[in-house]
Amino acid sequence: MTREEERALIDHVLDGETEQFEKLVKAHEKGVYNLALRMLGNEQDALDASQEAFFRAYRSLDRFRGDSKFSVWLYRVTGNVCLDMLRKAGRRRESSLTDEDGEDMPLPDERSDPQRELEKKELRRAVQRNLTKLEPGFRQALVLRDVNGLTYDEIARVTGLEAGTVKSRIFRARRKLAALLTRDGNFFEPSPSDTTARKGGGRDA
Amino acid sequence: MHDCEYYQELMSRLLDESLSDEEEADLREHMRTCRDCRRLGAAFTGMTAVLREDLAEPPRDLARGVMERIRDEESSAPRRRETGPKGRLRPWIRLGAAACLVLAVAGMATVTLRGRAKSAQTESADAALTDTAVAQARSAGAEPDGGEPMTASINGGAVYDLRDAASGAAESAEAPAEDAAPDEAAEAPDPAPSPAQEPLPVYDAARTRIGVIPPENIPAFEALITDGGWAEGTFEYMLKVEYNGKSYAFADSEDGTLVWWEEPSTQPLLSPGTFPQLRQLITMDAPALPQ
Repeated sequence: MTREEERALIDHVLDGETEQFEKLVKAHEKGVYNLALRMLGNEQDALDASQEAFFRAYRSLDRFRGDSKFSVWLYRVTGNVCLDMLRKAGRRRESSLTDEDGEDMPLPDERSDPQRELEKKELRRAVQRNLTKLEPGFRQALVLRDVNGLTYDEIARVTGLEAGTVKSRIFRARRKLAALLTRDGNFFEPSPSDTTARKGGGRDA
Repeated sequence: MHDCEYYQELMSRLLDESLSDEEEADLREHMRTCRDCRRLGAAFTGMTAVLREDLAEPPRDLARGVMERIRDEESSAPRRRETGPKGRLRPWIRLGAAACLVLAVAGMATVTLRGRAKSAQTESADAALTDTAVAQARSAGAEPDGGEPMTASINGGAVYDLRDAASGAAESAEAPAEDAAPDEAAEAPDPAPSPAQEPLPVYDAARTRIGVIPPENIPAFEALITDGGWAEGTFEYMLKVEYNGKSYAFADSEDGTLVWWEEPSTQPLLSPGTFPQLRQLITMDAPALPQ
């Protein structure tokens, strides 16, 4: 969908063709859902947050001014929904939302040899598990960059931060996530000359 | 000579394709000799690949659920836009209009409202800004030059009669919506269904709710507003609030809440404890709003 087509669709919805909104949902549900999933860490909350975000977007559609991409505007709404949910969950019980996804599941210490698929699956789970340990504002910046593919400038618009702050948040989020993953036993390919950091070879190598 | 932290930030920016050729060459040279940075680089690459490639398919009933909720909403409270240009209001328009009223009645201010074309139609908002309509607030005995001018840029409303706006605010807290066409905006506003009766949630920059402005305190809050306008390059509509000779800013968020605005890279302009009058207006321990 081009930006012009999208704008036309939005105008149709604003003019009362409510059902046209479903096309906008379909066009953006993947980005919105994956943003929510990475922010919240589980599928049920991600579904709830996505639906809430689209609903809020519908109600506020006349505030979309069209000077940014519609997706960027939607991600802002989604981010706020997620931050609200995280905050409420934090009040209810410490990190009940963020730590749900297998936090207590023990990690295999030893991996049977070639199973790269298993490793990759484990890495994927570990990424999500540790992502939810990042402070929400940092997590949001990183997810908007890597999951939603936004530029620093677009993330600045979504979060209200300066682009320079966005850049530094993303860096710090990555460094923290890398540290958590390393501590968690998820090692990455060492360089060929690096004999001490062999996969599984030791956390403090 | 840079330290590893410098190169690690370059690695992060390399993933985002925001490195110059010189920086990249410098980074690669450093990586050649630094094992720690190579390891971190491998970690960055691995986890970034997961984040970028491992996208989930949204559940099939996502869209259906949204549309069902919208249909429910529409059957009970249909969107008002088709009835005219004056749709739902942003709280700040209500606030601004009511602030106009306060100042106009007090005879303290010249109130200038700048019309601004709908940005979707006119991307050059600057040009539109020159199409300024000035409405002077003269209630009985008011001197238009008696105080600080109050300016509000309203997206889409060109000619905007303050007295209408003020009376509209008095009756209904309604004002022309941002989508109003210029020739329609001068009409007296429609009454709105008691928009000012809802408490106004206030968040800090991290979207932590710090309280609400109860309906009975909204007029007092409005009286502190001296300016408003779109912040360039953001979704934020900024409200300027003046108190005791100092200026403070709020951002209107897209879901109708207020955010204490935090200037980028600076300390928050204000925290709830630094602004006694506002603090009194904002109930800090209000119960959660019903969804």
